[in-house]
Amino acid sequence: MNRIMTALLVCVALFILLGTACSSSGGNGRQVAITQTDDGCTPQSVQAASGEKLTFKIENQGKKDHEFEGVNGTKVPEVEVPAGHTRTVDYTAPKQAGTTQQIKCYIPNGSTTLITVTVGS
Amino acid sequence: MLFSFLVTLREGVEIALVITILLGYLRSTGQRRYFRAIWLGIGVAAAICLAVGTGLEVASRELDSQVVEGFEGFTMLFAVALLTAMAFWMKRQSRGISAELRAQVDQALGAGSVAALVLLAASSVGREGLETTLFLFAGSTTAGAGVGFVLGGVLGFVVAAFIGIGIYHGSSRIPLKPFFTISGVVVIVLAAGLASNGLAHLHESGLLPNLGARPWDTDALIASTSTLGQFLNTLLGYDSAPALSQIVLYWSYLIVVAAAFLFLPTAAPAARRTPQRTVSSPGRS
Repeated sequence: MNRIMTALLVCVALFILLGTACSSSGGNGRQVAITQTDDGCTPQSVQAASGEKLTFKIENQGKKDHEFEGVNGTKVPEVEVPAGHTRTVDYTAPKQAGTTQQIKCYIPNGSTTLITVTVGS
Repeated sequence: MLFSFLVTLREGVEIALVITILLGYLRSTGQRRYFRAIWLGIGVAAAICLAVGTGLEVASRELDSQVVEGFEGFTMLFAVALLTAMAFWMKRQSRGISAELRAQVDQALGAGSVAALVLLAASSVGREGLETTLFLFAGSTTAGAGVGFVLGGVLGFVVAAFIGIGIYHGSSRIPLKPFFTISGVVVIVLAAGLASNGLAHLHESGLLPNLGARPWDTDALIASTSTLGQFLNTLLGYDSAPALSQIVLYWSYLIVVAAAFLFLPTAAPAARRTPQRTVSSPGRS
């Protein structure tokens, strides 16, 4: 019976190792600064090269917490940027030139800015 | 991945235990012909759970993202309440559950109704199954859920199934009491994280405008969006800049519930020993 408990513990330990080994904190793309205030986010449009890796550095200068997330299929993980804090998010632009993608930058029940990423050649 | 594994392992063993009790009782009373009814009930329960899970997932995809936040927030807090109740229920019933289920099998068969037996299997397995569904759904919303999450869940069920087979054949004597105590604590830790995440989701939905000050920010150390950050978020409710209300809720829940779970005495045996008491309902006729 101890053997089973040991096996379970080993399983759990393995998972923890797997979980931490796979982690990468990122931040290795071209840095794009996003500024948030209580009135919205700037800039509203971002240019990216085909397949380019970007790292959004989002600084919330307002007094309210902001949300930052990809919409309509844009692969930007949702991140909360509390008032007065800064967050970084990685993003890889699509390969196809001319594609536009959207990121929603908003205060819940408050101002909303749609940031458009346009893929150049 | 670890989250879903731990959840399905724990819940899976609970389900396996219920099934073994039902099948084992039929076997020991020479009524193997009713096995099919039990399996049918399990099938019904599984189908219902899958339907509910799919419904939750579809609903959360269809809705507007801000509404989803609120929906997820409430689901998480509801899951926390349910999980807490179930952890205590499991502790209290760990010995009584077997006698109770057997009595119910007798009752179903006494009524000469196979349908009642199917229903018994469906409801007793379904209850655990729905709990699992809700738990997994609440966890998947923060997990950056992908293949790993599904894989962990499947693996947990597989291990639980082997444990169940072991119990049924009596070939392995799994120390169930320590298992349920340890996994109960694990559930409480996961639930504390869900509670804190639930608050964050309600805040993100705009329902809770202010969660209070944020005393620290460890995002530079472990970013919320990093794999490690998300891993710790689902497992321990890690938030790189938690608000005061999240911190208070997390720690007070963890300390109070874990202490109660570990140190409160189980219910007196006398209370358990009265299965199938016909509840008279005064004032209603």
